[in-house]
Order: sequence, then structure tokens, then C-alpha cells
Amino acid sequence: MGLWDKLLSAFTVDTFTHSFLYLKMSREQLVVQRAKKAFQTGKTKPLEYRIHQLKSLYRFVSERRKDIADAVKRDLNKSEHGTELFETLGLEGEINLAIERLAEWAAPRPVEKNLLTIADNVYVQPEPLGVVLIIGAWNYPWAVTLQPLVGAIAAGNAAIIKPSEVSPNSAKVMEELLPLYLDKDLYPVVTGGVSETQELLKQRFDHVFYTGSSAVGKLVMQAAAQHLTPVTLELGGKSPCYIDKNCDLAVACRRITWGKFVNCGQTCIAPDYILCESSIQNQVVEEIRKSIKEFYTDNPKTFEDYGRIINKRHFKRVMALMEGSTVVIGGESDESECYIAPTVLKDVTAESRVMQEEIFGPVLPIITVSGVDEAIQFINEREKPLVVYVFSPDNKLVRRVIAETSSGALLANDCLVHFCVSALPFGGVGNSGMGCYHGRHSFNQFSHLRSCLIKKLKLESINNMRYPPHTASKMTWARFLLLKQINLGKLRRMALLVAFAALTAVIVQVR
Amino acid sequence: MSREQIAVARARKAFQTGRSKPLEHRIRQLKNLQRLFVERQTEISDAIKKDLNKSEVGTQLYETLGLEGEITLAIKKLKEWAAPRPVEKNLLTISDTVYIRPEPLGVVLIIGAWNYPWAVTIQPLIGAIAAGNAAVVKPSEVCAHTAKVMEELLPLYIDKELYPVVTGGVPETQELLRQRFDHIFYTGNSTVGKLIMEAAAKHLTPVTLELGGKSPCYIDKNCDISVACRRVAWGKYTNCGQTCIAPDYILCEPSIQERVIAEVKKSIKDFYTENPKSCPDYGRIINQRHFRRIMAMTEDSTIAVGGDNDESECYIAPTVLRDVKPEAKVMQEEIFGPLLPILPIGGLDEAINFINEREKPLALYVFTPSDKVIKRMIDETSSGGVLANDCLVHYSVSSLPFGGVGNSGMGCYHGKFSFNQLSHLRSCLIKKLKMEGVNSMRYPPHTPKKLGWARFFILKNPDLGWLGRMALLTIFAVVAAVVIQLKYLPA
Repeated sequence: MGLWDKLLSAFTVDTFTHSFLYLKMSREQLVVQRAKKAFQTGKTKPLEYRIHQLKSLYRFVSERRKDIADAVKRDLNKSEHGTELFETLGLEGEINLAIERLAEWAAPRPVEKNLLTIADNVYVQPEPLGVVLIIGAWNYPWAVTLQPLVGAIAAGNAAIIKPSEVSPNSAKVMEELLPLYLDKDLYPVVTGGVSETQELLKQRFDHVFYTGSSAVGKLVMQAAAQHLTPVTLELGGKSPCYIDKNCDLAVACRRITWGKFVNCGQTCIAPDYILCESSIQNQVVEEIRKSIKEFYTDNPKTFEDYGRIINKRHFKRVMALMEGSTVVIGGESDESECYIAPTVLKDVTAESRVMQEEIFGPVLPIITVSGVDEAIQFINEREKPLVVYVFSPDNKLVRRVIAETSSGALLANDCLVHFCVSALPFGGVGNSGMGCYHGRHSFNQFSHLRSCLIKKLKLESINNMRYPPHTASKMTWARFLLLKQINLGKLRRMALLVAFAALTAVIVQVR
Repeated sequence: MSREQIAVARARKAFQTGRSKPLEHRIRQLKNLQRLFVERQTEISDAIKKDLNKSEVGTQLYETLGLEGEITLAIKKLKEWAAPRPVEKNLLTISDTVYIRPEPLGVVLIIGAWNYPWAVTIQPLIGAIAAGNAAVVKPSEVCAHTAKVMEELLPLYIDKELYPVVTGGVPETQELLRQRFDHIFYTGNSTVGKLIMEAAAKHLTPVTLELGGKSPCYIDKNCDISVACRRVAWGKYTNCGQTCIAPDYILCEPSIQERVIAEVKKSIKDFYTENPKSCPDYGRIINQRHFRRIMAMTEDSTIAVGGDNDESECYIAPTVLRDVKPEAKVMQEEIFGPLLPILPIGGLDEAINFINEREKPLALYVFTPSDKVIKRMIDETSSGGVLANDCLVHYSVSSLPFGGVGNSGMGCYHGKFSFNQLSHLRSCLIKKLKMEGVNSMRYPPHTPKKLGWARFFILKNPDLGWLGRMALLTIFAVVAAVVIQLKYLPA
């Protein structure tokens, strides 16, 4: 091409249009495009790269502990130790696990062969999806935003991180500091509110991971449908807590109190409400009162380890929920500080305000039921929750609750702690969500598990049975080869035994 | 209430009685389904012949044989699949019961397709039944005869309240999609797939979408072209190209194009005789709308083999197009017909680029003797599945998850994957109300000392398997030491 042609082509309408469009692109579009380009260079594929990024993420969490804790203090009034215990410790564990296991997770996974594939290479190959979008929540802004990121990085993707604007201090710190540790093209942080999130959701991703409410979950899924983008939705619901009258109430109520009032009740898996027989209601109340005092002193408001409601809107929402119910513990509040005391409501009815939505606050209603039958019925009349809690020493009762209800997870005799068992998939069902993560499940969720069958161009005669003209005798062969599910393991053992027997016979003869 | 609402409500009520949960029920239903395929082969084949002009043996080979295999597998393995699945414990759960429990989701909707109406409608049903769900079965109205047979026969074999068949067209499907399900399993095209997912979003219903795309087929010039083309021809012209995993188009170097054409032509003759139109094993296009759609695609390309057609019979001969350009009509959408375009490209690099410029397909085929070429293809592209040196057959390996990625779909099934896809895998952690002392480290007031303990328990992820082995070895060593001492102790 001559110089004149080259100059001319540099100034074609296409170029102008392209530059013009480039200027017209939104910030969100640019970020996504840059991430896509970065992904297409292929640099996230080598395991060394992913481990390097994960190690950097680990350094971030340990070096910037103070910045993170300060931000969470300002957002949720959580103490420094509280932040470590409930936000970053789990994150560190997940990063370490991913680094340790990545080679195993990312390796080809051989599968069971059949007669027709006995000489072939048959396996499932985990692959990156591409560019994923992670929309975080505000209640554990670091845990629920970065834990999915661990899976996304481990699986070899690029990831756009959108922290919740409702926890603005954490969002700001994430935006400022994360790019100092992670590749800023592959893992950009995009802050903003509703309109920025909507703009992001218009872009095309290879997976969208959302943590938040069911109402917004529907909108996220709808937006994803436009691009046939698969989604993981970690939503919520009212997690019921059944207390059997025969259990050790002191210990049960201690654990429930802890589970409820951590982070001021703003936990997706907090025990939302209690179901128990009326004969133990008073005792339950007293035990909870005792535990509240033990954990948060007589004056939770001044106590370092008791949090605050995230903002005034939620403060008003939670306060309004108490209307019409009997407060038996707590109830004090201070709007200027978004403070609500650890509160227990008794003799709550199904129609009361507090039972109409997920509480997500430090208000613990007790609903009396006649026994486990009624409790199971009560639970089943409602949306499937993220978790069902049951406190009972009776294994049969626990098994009944498991068999006759459905929920994301079931935890007997404690609260929250299933979250830390990375071998257990963490996720909801029905209204409480779809998909799951933690540990290897995060890796799988952000991967495409691609079926691979590598055959050879030999043994073509075997294939005759499948080619037209289709005859009855060919059909018989096909039937035999496809339907006889021979246990190849057993076959191998039989073969070994036969070989062994033959060898023995030979040796005996020779001797 | 509409007919669809009633069917769904009845299915839900039937599910809530709990009768689909016991394994005996599920196995019984699966065995009944098995009987259907043994006893009603003739009716099934007749309907398929009318819909797609498939021969009786062809129907068996491509539709019902696979189903029989899946049903047999599900019956055999159900107990194993449905059993609680223990998981790795950590230090904090060492004395607890920790497992994943597969549970039914509830009422699932299965929307079938018309190209292998029994296979793609009943295979998901097998998974649904095995997983303990109720299932509303909506066969495609495009294969009208088969839909009718399905509507008549299924209720004679399986529980008609739990597994109703709802026939109908677009408005009936839309009405179904307004109801609330616990999972929707759709097989069909990407356009409708989006609408399904959108409808499902309103109820937060998870979906499995088995969609399609243009599955590329790369032929390395160094391979045994004769065998390769034989397998490609079989993969392409089965069911007249109306297979979601048919090799859509060929990419090969120009130097072998003639040879490829000749070999494909030879295979066509071997399989379908000189006159495919009268061969009982050669099918038809499902209807005139699709006939016209496919014929229009030939307009701007050069026909190398075939091309003859007969609209009155929806017959299109096995056709090969040569020197096809990326802009050609035939390259703008999934062909789903008996046209095989060949696009000459410079080599593997160009083939990979070409594939990556397009949507991720359901299947990717590569014919080569070179492991290196295969490895590059796999590493540098993405697709639902990859099959080297053959076509279609990965579908029959039930231990391989069958599904798409990106535009070709989401979710997967076959074998145990069907069971898992239509189950909720519920995490269960059963603790005791003892050892409350251990929990002190998590309760307020949060102190550095408590945090230190928490750090130890949560972060030290000892391989308990290894720990167990070390413990055993230690015990063994101690016992050995004791034994030796006793033996050699001076009397």
C-alpha cells in the first residue's frame, strides 16, 4: 500500500466514527471493554499468574488491615477485631485455600469411560468464562465482594468489581487501594449507585455474581437474560430458627443471640425469627437477655463490639417493623446514631409487620408454635430461606426438619458457622438465590466445565454400525455397545485375577 | 384458570403430597418409562416418520436407544446419586456431621424441541423424575405427530398429575411461562432462550438452556481425510442436518478442499445411495418454513455437491458448498439443514481466530493426528464441548456434562449431571450443643487473644487425611517399638 493510501486510510470515516464513538462511550463501557481486551491477551490463563494475583490480594488484606477496619468502622461501627473476625479472616482462608488447591482444581478431570471410549481420552477441562461482573453488598462489604473475586481470579477470568455504594467508605477504600495490588485492567473497581450499576448491567458479561435482595436479584437476572449471561444470585429471606423444648436452652440461646446480633442483625444468614413452644418462651427470653448482657454489656450503645444500622433509611425500616408487636427486651433506639438496641419481641403473630419481610436488623421475634409439626408447616408456607436453623438434641427431629423443609442450607445447633466450612456450597434456593460458592465451588461457579473427547481416526470399522443403511443387525451391535454398562473397574480386577491365576498355574507347574 | 395454570397447580399439589420423593416411587416411574419405549416403539417410529421421515431403525438409533441407556443408568445409580454426600471437614467441624443433601426442587418445566423430540424432551424428564421433582412436559408443536403421541402415551405409563404433558404453540407456552416453576429446562434456539430466561427471572427461577450455534469443524491437512470426511458426513447429514451438535461448517486449507469434497461426496453415496430422496435412511426438513430458510442460504455460494430439492416433500439433497466466504448467507446463522459449507483458511492460526471472532458454539470439532494441534485448539478456543476426530458421539458419553457456554447455553445434563441439575444440593451441618467453651473465641468482647485462636482454627487447614495417616503411623511406630522391646528384652 502506497504512502498516500496509508495516509488516506488513517483518515477514513471509519476512524472518525470510531474515535467519536469512543468519546461517547460511558465510563462503565470503557472499563468493560478494557477488561475484555486484557482477558483476550490470555494472561490470566497461566496458573502462575492467577496465584500471583491471589498472593497480591492476600498482601492487600494483611497490609491494609487498618484501612479496611477504619472504613468498616465508619460504615457499620464494627470494631477492628470484629472486622477481622467477620470480614477478613474468612477472606484470608479462602485466598490461601485457592492458592493451595488451584493446580488441583484447574487440572483436567478424567471421567468414567464406556466400551466405546475405552481407547480414548475423556475428561472435563475447567476453563475461564471471560469477563465476570461482581456486584457486592454493604453488610459485609469486603467478605461478600472479595470472596467471589477469589473464585473469579482462580478460575482465570477478568472481573469488574462493583462495591455497594451503601457502604461508601469501604467502596472508596476498595477503589483506591485494590488497583495498587491487583491488575487494574483485569480487575477494575467501578463505584457508583443505581444508574452506574444499570449501565454496567447493559454491558455483556460472561457471568454476573450478585449479592443482595431478591427484588434487585430479579432485575439483575432480567438484564443478564438479554445477553444469555448465567448468574449467581446470593439473596436472602427470613431464616427460621426452631428451638426444641428439650434442648439445652442456655447454650442454644447463647448461640442464637450471637448469630442474631452480630453486625446488628445485618447478616444474610442471621436467624430471622424464633419458633418455639409457648412453654419455653419465657425461658428463651431470659437466656437471650443473659447472653445479650454477657456479649454487649448493660449498655450496648457504648460498647465497642456492638454495631449500627447502615443508614437512616434502614433504621426507619427496622423500627417500623416493630410496630404492633410486644417488646420484651431492648427496643431503645437513637436515630441520630442509627442505633437500635438488641431487641426481642414475644408472642409475635404471622400477620405482624415484622414477619412480612427479612428483618436485617437487631430485632428477634419469637413466634410460639405447638411443636415441630406446626413449625415445619409454618416454614413451608413461606419462601425457601437461605438457611434453616434447628436446635435440638434429638437426631430424629433434626432429620425430620431436613426431610420436610427446603432451604439453601441447614444448620443444627448453631448459627452462621456453616459459612466457614469451605467444602460446603454456600447459596440459596428459590427466592433465596441460585448458584453457590466458597472454596472449590467458587472456582467451579466461575468456570466453564468443558467436555473433551479425544478420539483417533483408527478403528473405523466399529463405526459401521452407526452408518446408514441402518439395518437390524447393526442396531443389535449398537445396542450392545451403548447399553452394556460394564463396570470397567470390575473388568480390570477380573482381568488381573485371571492373569494372576494363570501366572500361579505356570509357577506351580514349573515347580 | 387456564388449562396451563390448572396443570401446574395440580402438579404442585401432587408434589406437595411428598409422593415423588421416595426412591421406590422414582424408580417405579422410571421403569414404567422404560416399558413405554419397549412396548410403543412402533407408534413412536410412525410419528417420527411422519414428522421427520426418519426410518424406524434410525429412530431407535438416534432417539430411543440413548433414552433407554439413560433410564437404565438412572435406575442403577439413583441410590448413589440421591444419598447424602459427605464433605471434607475442618478443625472446627471435626466432630460434626457435615454433608450435602440432594433434594428435589419442586415443579420443573421441560420445553422440548422438534429435531429429536423424544431424546431432548424425555432425557431431561429422566433427570427430573430421578431427582424427585414433578415435571410439566411441553413437547414442541413443530413436530406435531410426535407431540400428539407423547400427549397420549405418557399418561398411560407415568403419573399423570406429577408429570403432565401440555401441548400447544406459542400462546400456550407463554401462558406456561407465566406460572411459577422451580426450574425451567429449555432446548431450542438462542433467541427464544433469552425470552425464557427473562420470564424465569420474574420468579427467580433457575434455568438450563440447551441452545445452539454454528459448530465449526477444522480438518487438518495431515489427517486421514477419507475417514475424517466419512465421520463428518455422518455427523452432518444425520437427521438432515437438524442436530444441535451437527458440524455446521468446515474450515480447511485450500490445498485439501477438492479432496474433502470428493470424500464427502463418496460418503454421501455410501450412506444414502445415488438417490437420497428415495433412501429410507435420509430424512426431510421439518416443515416448509425451515425448507425455505435453508434454501435461501444457498443463494450466494457455490454448490459443489447436491443442491437438488423438492419443496413439496421438504426434501433437500445432501449438499456441499465450496469456497464459502464469511459474509455468505449460509454463515450468518446456524444452518440446521443438510448444507455443508467449506471455508478455505490459511491454517490452524486462522481457524482459531475465525472461531474466536464468533459466538461460542455448542460443539467444536477438530480432525487431526497431531496432539499438539488438538491441544492448541482446546486451549485457544471455547465451546460447550470439544470432540477430536469424530462427530456427535460425545453426546453418548453420559459421564460427560452436555451443555453450552455463552450463546450456546447454560447448565448441562446427561447421566448424573441431569440429576444434579434438577436437584438442590443443600448444605447440612449438624453440630451438638456441647463444647461451648470452644465458641468463646467468637463471642464479644472481641480480644486479640480470642482472635488468635480463631485465626488458628480457621486458617490452619490441615489435610486431615494426612493428619489421620500420620496419627496411624505414629501409633504403628509406638506399637512396633513396644513389641520389639518386649521381644528383645533380656530375660
